[in-house]
Amino acid sequence: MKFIRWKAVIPLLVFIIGITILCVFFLDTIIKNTIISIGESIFSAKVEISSLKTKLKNMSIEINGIQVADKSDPWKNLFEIDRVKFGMKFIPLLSKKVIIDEMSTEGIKWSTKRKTYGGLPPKKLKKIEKKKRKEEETFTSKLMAKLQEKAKKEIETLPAVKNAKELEKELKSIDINKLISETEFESKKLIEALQTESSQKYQNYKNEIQNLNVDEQIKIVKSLIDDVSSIKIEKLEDIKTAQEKISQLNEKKKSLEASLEKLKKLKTSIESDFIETKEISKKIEQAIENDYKNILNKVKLPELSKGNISRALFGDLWINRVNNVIYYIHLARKYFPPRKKEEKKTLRQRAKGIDVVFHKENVLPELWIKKISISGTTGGEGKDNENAITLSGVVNDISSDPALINKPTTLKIEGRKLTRQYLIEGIFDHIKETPIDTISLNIKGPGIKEFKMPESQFIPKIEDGTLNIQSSFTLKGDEIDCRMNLSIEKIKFSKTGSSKEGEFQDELKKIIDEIFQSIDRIFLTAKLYGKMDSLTTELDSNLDDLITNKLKSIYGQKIQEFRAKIKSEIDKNITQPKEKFLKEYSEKKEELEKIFSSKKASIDEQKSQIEKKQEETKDKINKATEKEKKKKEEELLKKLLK
Amino acid sequence: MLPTKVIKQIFNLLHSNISPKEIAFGFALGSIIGLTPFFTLHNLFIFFLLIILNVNISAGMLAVVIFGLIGYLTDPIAHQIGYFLLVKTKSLEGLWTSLYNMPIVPFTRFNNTVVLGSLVISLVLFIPIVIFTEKFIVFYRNNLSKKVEQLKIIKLIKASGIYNFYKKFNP
Repeated sequence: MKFIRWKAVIPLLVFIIGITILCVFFLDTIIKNTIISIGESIFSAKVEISSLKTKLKNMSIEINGIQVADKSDPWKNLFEIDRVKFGMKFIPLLSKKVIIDEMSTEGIKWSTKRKTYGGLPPKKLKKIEKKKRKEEETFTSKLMAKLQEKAKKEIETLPAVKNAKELEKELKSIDINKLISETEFESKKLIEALQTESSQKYQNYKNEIQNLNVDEQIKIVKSLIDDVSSIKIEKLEDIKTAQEKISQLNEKKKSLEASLEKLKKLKTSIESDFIETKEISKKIEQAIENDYKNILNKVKLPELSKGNISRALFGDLWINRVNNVIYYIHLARKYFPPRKKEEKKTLRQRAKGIDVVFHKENVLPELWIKKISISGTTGGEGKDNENAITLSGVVNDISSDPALINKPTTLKIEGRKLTRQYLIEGIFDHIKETPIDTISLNIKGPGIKEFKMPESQFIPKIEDGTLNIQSSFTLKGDEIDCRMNLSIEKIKFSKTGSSKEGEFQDELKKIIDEIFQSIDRIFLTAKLYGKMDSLTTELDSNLDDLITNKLKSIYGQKIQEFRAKIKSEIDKNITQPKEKFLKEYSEKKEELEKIFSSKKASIDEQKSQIEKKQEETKDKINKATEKEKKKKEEELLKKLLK
Repeated sequence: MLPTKVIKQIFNLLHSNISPKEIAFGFALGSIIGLTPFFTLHNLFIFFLLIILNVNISAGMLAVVIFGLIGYLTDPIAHQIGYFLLVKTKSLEGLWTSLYNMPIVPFTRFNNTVVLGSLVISLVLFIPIVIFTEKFIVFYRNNLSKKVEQLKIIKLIKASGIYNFYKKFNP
């Protein structure tokens, strides 16, 4: 058996040469279609290329007329580039590595008008979105979804103007009497509870005082005192009886003192239990205040608070701008991923299996574009070409493995014309394990017409003005920090208001129009920071103060009247039981105090009576003893003299 | 390729005078293309071998179809094997890193778990497929071919125009 089929060698060679020629012949078309397909899957919109030429001699590619449609506005281009030219190094290509020393990108324009529709067929779009959903479970994609959700919420937040309208409607529709009758008052319940408690305590104290039997004791003491008073101490036997009575009085005095001590303790207890009427009244007042707040909460009157307006007008715009930047950072992180330096391989999920990328120090990455020269204009089809600014800049070191080349990707594009200035700077540092992406954008002086400004039914359309923006977007690992200062100078608002004419033919519209006509400058400070789970947005503008204060002065009065009415209704319901309770409460307290005082006075009196009687009896005994003594002495003397 | 055509092709190969070795080697080479993902550089190389080497091309094409279908079932196993070799086996890391950074080799997509795993499966199965196919053809031609020829369905196939057309070029 012959090992090689020689007859097939020549046809095979012919076949290979044929295929090679065919490939070379159609290489431009193959590359062009590949770029279009990749571009469409990235931007989810039509990507067009006028021509693409490859030169195998110096491995260069020149692409002319790139147009990428805007998926949110298919009759506009997201951007277009007149010409992209670059050359690749041949030897690294054999190792599947694309190394480009310099790439030139000329004639970049954005938001230009399209002549044809730029949307993708629904079937294709669905396929792309499905693929994206599968692939993009990364941190940045989740963050973008979170931001979109937040933007929605910002719009839902009602601005003061809308609140004013709702407020008026709300105030008219509320039936205060019904509202009051349907409310269960906490203060009423508190008064009832306090009433029961105080009655119970009052009764307990009264019983305890009763149990002391002070009156009984006093009665006994009195009779004892009477007994002592009736004793005539003439003989020695009488002294003995009197002494017995004195000791009995002593005992009673001690018992009275013990009762007094108990009474005093009860008084202390009464004082702590029956607090000052002022304090109890304060407690009830607090409960009434809570009832008032609860009723207001039920009504949910829209607050004419500061901050609502800038959130509603600029919140969506701000978050969408951040979202756009995050999207580009997301692309940068996806295609130029950071890795640990000591990591020897990384795994990339593919449709079938996993691609393992083996890293080696001092070798070239899979892709490295060392420098991209960029030039473009703010003008273009359908834009203000007379005042267009020419932009130029460079992007350095785009790499599929930034850690390998140990350089971050940097970007600087600037343009200036008279007083107008554009400056975009960016650093995409994916060298270390934690990527840090920073983009700053400074725009000074362009007309407002060049930008898509927020439109709202609550404010008239901005007709003219000059714009200044200073913004920075930083994404460090998974922590975002975005700031923007925006000011619109020499602003002019349209007098006709927004398109919703019917809604604005009222007093409120006139007020709003007046406010806006008096504004010649808007400034806005926007912040968005934190981790994905705790994103914080802060928006503040002079519009907030201006509009809110004006509306507050008009509608504040109405709100005050409404609140006063509610307050008076609550008072009507609560005041009577409150007053009744407080009266009863203080009466009970006073009565207990009175009982205490009278009992104390009686005991004190009896004590002094006992003491007095004791003294008297002692004197009597002494006198009787003296008398008896003298008598005995005289008898003895008589006996002696006999 | 329609199932009837596949059956016809199998029948034609078994009933031809082509050497069992040629058919077996052609079939084994085709199995490599069939088992591994189609658009890879090594498959182009195998395809050239199939044409240049004195093996049966029809058997090779038949194997591409048959093993292409089997390949869908073996892909998960191939992924496991590839993952083990590329990621888990530290001793091979140096080899893969060198290959990955060599010219041309990265185009083989050897660093894909399914590609490497299925290539390993197909290479391991290469010799068994050759031996089994050769022995089966010899056994079939000696013991079964006459009986099969008597089957009604085979008579029908033989009567069809395609068979006759094939016979013209493959005596």
